Amino acid sequence: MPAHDASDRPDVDLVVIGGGVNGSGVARDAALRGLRVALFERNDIAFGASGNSSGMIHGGPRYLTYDPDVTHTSCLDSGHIQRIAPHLLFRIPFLVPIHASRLTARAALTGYDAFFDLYDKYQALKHGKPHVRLTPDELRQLEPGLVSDAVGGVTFDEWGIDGARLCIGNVVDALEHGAKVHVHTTVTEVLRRDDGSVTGVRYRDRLSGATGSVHCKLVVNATGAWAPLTSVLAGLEPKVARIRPGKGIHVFLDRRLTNYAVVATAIDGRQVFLLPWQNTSVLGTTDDDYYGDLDDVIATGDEVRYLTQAIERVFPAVKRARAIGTWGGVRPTLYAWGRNEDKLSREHEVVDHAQHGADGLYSMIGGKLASYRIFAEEMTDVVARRLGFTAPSKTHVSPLPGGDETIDPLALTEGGRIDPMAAVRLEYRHGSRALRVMERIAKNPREARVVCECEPVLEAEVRYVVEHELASSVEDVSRRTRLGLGSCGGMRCAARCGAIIAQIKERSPESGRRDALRFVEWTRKRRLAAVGPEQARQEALALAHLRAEIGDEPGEGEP
Amino acid sequence: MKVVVVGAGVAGTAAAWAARRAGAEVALVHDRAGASALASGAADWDRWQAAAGQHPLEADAVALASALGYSTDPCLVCTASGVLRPAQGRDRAVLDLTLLAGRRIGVADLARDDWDAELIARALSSSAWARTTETRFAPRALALSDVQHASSWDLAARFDDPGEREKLAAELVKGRGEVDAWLCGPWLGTAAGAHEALSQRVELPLGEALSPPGGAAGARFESARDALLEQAGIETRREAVSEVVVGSGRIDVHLAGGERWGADRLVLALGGVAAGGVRLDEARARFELSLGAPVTLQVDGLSTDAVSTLHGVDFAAHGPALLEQVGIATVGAAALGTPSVFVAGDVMADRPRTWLRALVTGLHAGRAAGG
Repeated sequence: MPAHDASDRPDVDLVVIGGGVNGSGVARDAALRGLRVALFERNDIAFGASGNSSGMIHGGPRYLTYDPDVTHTSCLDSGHIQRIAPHLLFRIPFLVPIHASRLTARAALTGYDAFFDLYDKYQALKHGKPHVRLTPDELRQLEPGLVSDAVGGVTFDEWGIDGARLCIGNVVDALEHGAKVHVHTTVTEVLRRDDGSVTGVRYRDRLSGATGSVHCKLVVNATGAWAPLTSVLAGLEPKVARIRPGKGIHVFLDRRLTNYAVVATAIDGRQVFLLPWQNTSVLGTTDDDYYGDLDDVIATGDEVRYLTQAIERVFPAVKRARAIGTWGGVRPTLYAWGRNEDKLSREHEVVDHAQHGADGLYSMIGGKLASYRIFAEEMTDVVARRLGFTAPSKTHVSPLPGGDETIDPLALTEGGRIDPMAAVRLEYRHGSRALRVMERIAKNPREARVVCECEPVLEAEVRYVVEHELASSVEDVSRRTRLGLGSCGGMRCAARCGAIIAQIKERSPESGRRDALRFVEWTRKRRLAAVGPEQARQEALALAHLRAEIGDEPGEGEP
Repeated sequence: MKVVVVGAGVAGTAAAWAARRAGAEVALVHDRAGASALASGAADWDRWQAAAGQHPLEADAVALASALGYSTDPCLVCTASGVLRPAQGRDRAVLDLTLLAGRRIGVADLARDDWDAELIARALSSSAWARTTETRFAPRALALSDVQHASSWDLAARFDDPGEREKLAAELVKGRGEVDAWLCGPWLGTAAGAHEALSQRVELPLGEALSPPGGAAGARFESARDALLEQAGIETRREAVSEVVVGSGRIDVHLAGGERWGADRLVLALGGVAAGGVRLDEARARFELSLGAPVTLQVDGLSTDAVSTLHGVDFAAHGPALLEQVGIATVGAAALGTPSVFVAGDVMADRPRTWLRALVTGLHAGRAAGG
């Protein structure tokens, strides 16, 4: 145990480990209540499950049969998120076609109808529309690409969100309320006194190698699937923060194939979906026990084929669609032995490690994107009460950055100088803060140039997220702006983005190129499992082009 | 001797040219733009970072490259990302920095999405070469209108017009006395001659950075190729080929429109995956040639039909390099097992996909087919 005892003058009240949605939610809530907070994230904000989820704050009708409390909490909190970040939400109406191939098709349709009657009771909480039962004709009219053997179907209503933007919003608000946020900085040890109580953390900046320590009164382990690893850093057994890690992957396509999300049944009876999401379509998701490296979660060809095969049965054109990438994350579900992954609880709980001899250390276990805010509030209640802060949580009413007012994206186009699509996407990501990005362009019109054509992303936004949202690499920028995640796979934008970051950070142009190549390699690794006939040619072209443009062996580009 | 060449990239052009010179009657059929039309303007023998020294070229290769607008002298060129790199040859419109060491080079600054003169100058100035040779790169604004949103191809085409070119020249002339040379983006014309006319008018060394896919270098290649094929008296047809049938002593080439061409010898120069000559077949879950032909595709010495899955090639397992390796198995210039069919360029298995290799394999295939 460390010799020093800094309990008299801690640097901060609270250290939060983990920059996912739970950690950034706690950092924000605590900062809003006046606590001095430091947050440490080993990789980037939203690097894990939060930035790689299905991109919905759904009520989880799936949980209704065995975990109705989760449905209620999710729907209620989904409503709160709409209030604090209206710009980040978009409606996703779902279709559940019932196929005649099922022997009990008509009974199933009636069953679904009744089931969604029940779910409708929760819809009002999240401003969702009640379900509708559809005839086969209506179904075909809504989505002509569906196979035509359905006896009918039902609709239900959910909300989509960009999980990474949600985390960034929380982090930026925490920063603006005095929190210190360290990204790419891993906690190497949770410091404890002789009596076992925590007194701070030691950390290492993974980019610069710099080390240091911060003293605090309490520590929250909000590291999701990493939680058992984090408890080891405090000298505890991994099992004290045990989770059941469930890998889920998604495949995304180069365009929106449908206007409605379509539910399908996979070969093993699980429900999967095809989802119109931002400017792509997304196939999801899997749920499998995961034993691999949490810092490098990659979809496999088998997982991609499992999803494609399932969606193809209801929407055959998906086989010919162009898959341009995958993402994968690991759910930190509550631990249970001997239960099927799908049946694991999406409940969440706070573990007080005083029972394990580490007073002042708490772990957040479980949870889901839709209920992050209430989970963060519950966690912050515990630490605030203990530290004598009596202010209640304001996170359900206080807007996230950019969520304070609604602006018209087309007013941002400056009489046609800015592409309307770029303006709409900018407003989606930043809400009213899109105006701050536009102020940059007013000062320096050159920043109106487009860096990423696929999304699209303007130079001003790249500079904005580097200067105000803690991005320091092309990958970080892509997480905040979706730069380089379109159909060209970063072929056109990565090098320029790397050069811009290098310039802002006063790094060498060579390091900017290495950054760009790392990013291209990173997206390629996540794309290869899904490369089919339609993408193969683009893939070969991108390989050749990148080699011609920046080379493919970093550091050897100069004579 | 009647030779049909399929494909009009560098390889197909070289094959047709060589077969004609060997005395054969040559017809060439091609469909869409391939890797040569998408080329950057740098001519390499090996992938450039692997390039160690110069590969010796025969006189025919030098002469043909020259006719296509390429110099085959070793040079130092740069990309639109501000990367300097050696090449074995270049499109003559691409700026060779070799003789500009120690000079002041103006980077033409047009406000464009794909050309950031400030960052390019920053990157080039910080290169080891520029620091050792004390070569300076600085952005200099050019006052030209309507240049921001034009594609780089359109902008290049604009300067084919003498009037438009004069506007650019007038801006570049202003650099005299302040810069010793101009580095421009890939905009200096899509036809042969535009770059040369501009150089003479400005009286300063000037040239382009390498082109993106579908840029000016590819366009210039196409116009030089068309002139060359016409001059050589080679019949060309823009149409897809659906199938080639090899009989005893005779080859039938079936065009997509239904016409049938007869030939004694055939050269396949379709390009690889990037060009669309080789594609992934969805139903059969493996690589296939984009036309029917009695040839074997292979990767790394193995035939590609030896894949036992219904679900397509798993690139995650094999790596993306597969895309640049897959091609027709050959023995010398001929297709394995079909000696009257010759193969050239990127469609050959397991070779680096480079411009000079395409040219040289094209010459070899054309000579073998025509002789």
